[in-house]
Amino acid sequence: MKKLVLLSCILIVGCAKPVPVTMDFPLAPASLLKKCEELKQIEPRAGGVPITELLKTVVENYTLYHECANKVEGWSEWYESMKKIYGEVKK
Amino acid sequence: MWILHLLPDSLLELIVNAVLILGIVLTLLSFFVLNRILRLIPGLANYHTVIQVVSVLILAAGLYFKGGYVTEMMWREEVAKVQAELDKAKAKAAEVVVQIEEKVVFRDRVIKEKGQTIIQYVDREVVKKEEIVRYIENCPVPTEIINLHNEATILNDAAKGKK
Repeated sequence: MKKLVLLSCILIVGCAKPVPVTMDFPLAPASLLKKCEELKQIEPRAGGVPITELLKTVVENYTLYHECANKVEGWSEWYESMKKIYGEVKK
Repeated sequence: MWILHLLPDSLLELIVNAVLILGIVLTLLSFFVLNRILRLIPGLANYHTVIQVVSVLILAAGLYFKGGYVTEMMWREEVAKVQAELDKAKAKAAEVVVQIEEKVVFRDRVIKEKGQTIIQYVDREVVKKEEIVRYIENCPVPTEIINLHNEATILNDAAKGKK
């Protein structure tokens, strides 16, 4: 009986099948991997800061925001594309 | 069946078919031919059943191996198909990544250029306007407003737990 159990175990090993299909995680564009820059600050001065300096800093910060938003849009597009491409592969 | 991976396909097929054919031939012989011959030889008549059992065991092993081999081949074919599809998807993904990279870099450049254009316009034109010069001289932005602006730039620090 013990031998039969042992034999059954050996036969069942035949069903243990490794699946040799490998898939690497898809690469993301290098520009998306950079972190968004910190927003610029204004150095306060005793007599106050000219309005043009404030305006320029605000413009710089809007620029940084739009750069960061561009990255987020890139990530979103990358995700949708990868989902579509790898989703088409037969399961 | 993992051990089947180690053998070449042709050798594997040869072994499997050989065992199966041997099993079939021995079984047929032991059931229909050998029994008649062995009965005629007094000393070997008792071995008839043993030969039949061994023949059936070889036939069973041959069938098992054949089944395993066919399944193995089916799996290999399936794996090759999926791997080919994955390779195709990988190549397509690489193309898409390049396209996205180019688009993001282009948009970044445009955004930077537009920002710089506005700042240059402020430095070149706005500061020359009499009304604005007067405003700059008479109405500097108070430190409190600047501090509030600076605080707003680090709002995310609170979310990160820095403040």
